[in-house]
Order: sequence, then structure tokens, then C-alpha cells
Amino acid sequence: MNFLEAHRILSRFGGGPRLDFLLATSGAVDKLDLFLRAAAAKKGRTAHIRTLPFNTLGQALLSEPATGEEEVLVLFPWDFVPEADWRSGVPSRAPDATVARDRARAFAERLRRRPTARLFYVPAPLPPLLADSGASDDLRFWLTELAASLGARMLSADVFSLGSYLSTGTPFAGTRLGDIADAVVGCLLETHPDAAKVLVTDLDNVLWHGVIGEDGVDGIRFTPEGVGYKHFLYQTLLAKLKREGTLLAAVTRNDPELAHAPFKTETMTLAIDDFVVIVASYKAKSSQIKEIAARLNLGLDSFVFVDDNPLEIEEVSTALPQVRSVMFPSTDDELPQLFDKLSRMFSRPLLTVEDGERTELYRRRLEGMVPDAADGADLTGFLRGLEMSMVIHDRSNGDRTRAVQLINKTNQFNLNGRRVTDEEVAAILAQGGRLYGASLNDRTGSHGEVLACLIDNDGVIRSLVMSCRVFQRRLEHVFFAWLAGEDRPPTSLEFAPTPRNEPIQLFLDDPAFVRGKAGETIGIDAAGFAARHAEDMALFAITPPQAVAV
Amino acid sequence: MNIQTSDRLQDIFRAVFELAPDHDVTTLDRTNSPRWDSLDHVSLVAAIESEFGVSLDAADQLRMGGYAATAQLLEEKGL
Repeated sequence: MNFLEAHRILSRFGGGPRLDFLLATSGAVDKLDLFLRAAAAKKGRTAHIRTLPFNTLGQALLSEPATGEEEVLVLFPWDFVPEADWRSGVPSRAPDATVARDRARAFAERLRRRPTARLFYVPAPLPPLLADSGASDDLRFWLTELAASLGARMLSADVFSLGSYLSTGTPFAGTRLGDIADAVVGCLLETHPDAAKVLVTDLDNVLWHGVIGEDGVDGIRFTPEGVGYKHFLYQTLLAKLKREGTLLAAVTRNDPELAHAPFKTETMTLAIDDFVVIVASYKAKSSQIKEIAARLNLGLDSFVFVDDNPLEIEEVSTALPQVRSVMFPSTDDELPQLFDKLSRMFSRPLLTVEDGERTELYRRRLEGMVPDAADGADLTGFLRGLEMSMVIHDRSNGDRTRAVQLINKTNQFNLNGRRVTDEEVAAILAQGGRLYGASLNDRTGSHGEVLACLIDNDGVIRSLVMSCRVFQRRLEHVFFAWLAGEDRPPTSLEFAPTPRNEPIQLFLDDPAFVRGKAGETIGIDAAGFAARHAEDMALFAITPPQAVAV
Repeated sequence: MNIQTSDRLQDIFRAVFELAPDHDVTTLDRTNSPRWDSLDHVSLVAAIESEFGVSLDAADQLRMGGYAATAQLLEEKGL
């Protein structure tokens, strides 16, 4: 969450139940205020934050906590060892290492007397305190262990900014303010931090690298090497959690056969029997999760959902706020944070024989489950916040390589599954046909050219494809509404069902598409489509094809 | 600085100084903005660091005397 996003969230937030808490740290926290309020607003809460005067944390801990006040303490090494405070400079005389540790233990004892306080620890670098650099390193690691023994959640060291700490007294890096705020509010709103029972995972780009519907079994990666390594590690974590009694489930927008195919290779860490259920359909993931919960007879607040797609996270968070939704990270370096979070959510102080048998018990209960047909959450607000723009390219002349490539590699959102040669496309264009491409950008950056549409001279759409990476954004609706409003709108589509193109079949369920007797050629009510999707048009800034200079 | 970055920077200035969405901030600086105090300056620094993923050291922060100087600074940082 960056500054402008936080500002937008707050300006659109109409208020919610109060979330009162003390945020205590030895440094200044002014920079965090906006982000904390926005993080709370994302959860529907109005944050009221009390803070301490600069450098008074130690004194505050000598007093009893205010009755009923939630406390969040963000701790740094110099809270335990004051000589390590950068703002005081490096001590000319090295402190006695034993005395320093005793003082740190005394500080830790004061924290132990506040069992309801939520603790975070930033393992920031220390100035070279001790004459022996090895002993200084030992001290730093020992302090981290001490904080961990108090149950402190670890923030990464790069949360600390020495520059900011020296110039303003705020120890927090400006680039991490959103992350810190989300972590603080997130931990405050955890109602049953150890009560999670079911981990529901996405498959594509989570359990494996790649998209099974596009890359096939041979194209995905899940072994301990290269791009698959992160996903291999994730599978080993899930295998461990399953052995310890966590129920694993998967939800995916795929055909069941495709979703199961990687498991049939029997080369993955996880086997299909490790899951109580794998739900593969094109319904909203929130409805898939709801159905799993109903069949398992478990509360949604015991569910954790992991996905790499922020739209899916938003959809499930909106429709099922009781479910804890966790983003699968895009980089390997963020994996430890994910693992720490999941391990805490499924932490079990005692393991029993029953824990190891739980999956098999529930699998038997779920045989024959059918996904619910309920709709998912309305993502309009979220989509609006993405600030999407679509650039439409007329590829009828010039470079059409990407458009043809898309037609030939896309399976799911594909009008008829037919592949085309460049010569075939050239022939259609030579007879007056058109080829369009569309690129998507949003506030996170460019997604590249993600849609292609080939129309012959009679206005028949011969190919219409869209990358699965941009599902759920209404891009296909907006493109088609634009096309329907052009001087020569399309008249029909050459549809053919394939084993994999259910996503486009859902698109073609729109009332503007009229199936003919053959069931394949579909007539188009262009004006009707444009009218029905006028609201979707407002989600995008559209750049039409640029006129080519003659 | 491209148009997107410039728009975002202007939005940041408007948000930090609580100005209307159409207020022209391109000529704003400490001499002509009565409410630009040290707290606002800290907020401005934090907002820019957060939004653009850059770290601004003490020397950078001193140079940020107005919109134009800030835009120049960010251009030098490759934005």
C-alpha cells in the first residue's frame, strides 16, 4: 500500500467500528499515522491511535497498561541495549557484554508483564559496540532470539531506515510504511491467531510455477531448482502442515482434469491424497471456499486462503471477511515472511495421532461434493482503484507477431481453439478483414498485449483470445463494447466449444450473443452489448487505435 | 519525468497540503505556502518515499524546497 493508495482508501472510507490502540515505539511514528488509518479502513475499521512522546517507551513500560487498551509495541535492539542507539553515537568505551545482556533481560521481563501486548521486533543493524566484532554479532543474534522468545513477530531488517531515524527520529523506512501498517492492524484484528484449521491454496503460480491451462504439465515447474524452487518449498511447508493436522484444500479456475494433471505425474512433493478436496471450476473462489466450509462443517474463520492474484484475494476478502486471505509472494525473498505467517496461523502446541489422520477422515466426508453456483463478490470498487487503461492496436497493418502468437497459445479464453498461420491471417486482412490487439496497464505497471481479435470482411469474428493473466478485470467486456461501438461493428462470432474454453463460454452467456441453430455461429446485438456494459467502460481509460499517417 | 510520474507527484503534494484536486501545485514552494511546516515536510518525504520506492537522505530532503525542486530531484534519481 503506497501513499496515494492509502490516501484514496481513506478519502473513500465512510467510517466503521473503532479500533483503538496504543502504538508504542521508542522512535517517532508520525509518518505511520496515515498508513495505519488506511490499513484499518481496508478492514472496515476507524483507527484511533495513541502514541508515546519520543524516546519514552522505557518509562511507559514501568507503568501498568491502561485498562482495556490494546497495545502494539514495535521494538528495536536499542530498546534492550540502550548503548546501541545510533542517535547517541558509538560508545567510546565498550559496554560490558554481560551487563548489557542482563539489562536486556530486565527489559524483556517488563515486556513479559504485559502478556496482552502485541510485540514486533525489527532486527536492525547495531553500531559496533564491543571490541570483538564476533561478540557484537553474537549480541545482535542473541537479541533477536530474546525478542522471539517473547513471542515478538519479526519484521525484516529493511523496515529500519537509519537515514530517517537520524533526520526525523522515525526509524521506519518510507518505502515500508504500508507493510508495517498492514502488519500492525492485521495482528490487532486477529481473533483466533491459532485457530486456523483449513489452508485453501490456489494452484497456478502458487503450488507450481506457471499456468497449467497455458503451459501444460511439461511447462509448469515445482522442483527444487530455478523458477520452481519457491513452489517446491511451499509444497514442503504444506506437507508439514498436513502431517500436523492442517486440512489442505485447493481452489482453482481450471478444468478438473487439468487441475489434477500435475498430481498424476507423481513427481510433486504433494500428492492428490494430501488434499481433502480440489475444487476446479470457473465459479468465484469465494463460492468454492464457502462450499468447502459447508461440507466440512467448519467455520469460515478457521480458513486461510493463499493466492498470488490480488483480484482473487480482494474477491475472497470482500465476500468472506472471516477468511484470512494471504498473498503468495512474487519474490523468493518474501517467502520467509509467508512461511512465518502461515506457521503461526496453524501453530499447534501439541500433536496427536488424530492430527495425522485428520485428512483421510475428512476426505471420506467430502466425496461427491459439487461446487455451489453462487456469485462471488462485486469487485467494481477494487477494479476502479486499479486505474486501468487499455490501448487498442490496429494490427491489420504492420507488426502482428504478438497478436498471432496470442491466438496460437491461448486455450481458455479462446473463441474456438483454432490455430492460425500468419499466411491465413494475411489473407483475411488482404480481403478487408481487421486484426486488433489490446494492451493493459494499471497503476502497478504494464501487463503487455493481452487480447487479440481477428474479424473477416463480413464482420465475422474468426478469433477472439485473451490471456488468463487478466481474467476478472472486465477487459473482454470493455474491448467488445468498444468494438460494438465502431463504424463496422462485428456481426457474429465463429464459436466452437473446446475442452478448455469454458471461460469464453461464460462470456458468451451474455444476452447480447444469440446462438444460431447450429449452436456455433453466434449473432451479436452490438448496441445491446454496448449499453449493458457502459459501466464497465468507466473502469478503463481507453486509447483507440492511432491513425496511421498516410 | 513522464506524465504518469508527474501526475502522481502532484497528487502527493495536493494530498499532503490538503489542496483541491485541481489545484496547480507546480509553483508551490516553502515561500508561497503558509502551511508548509516541518511536520508537513516529514509527511511529504514519507509520501514520496512510499509512493516511488525511493530513499531520501538528509541532503535530498533539504533540496525539497518546492514542487519544482522535488521534481528535479526525482528526475535525477531516474524517475
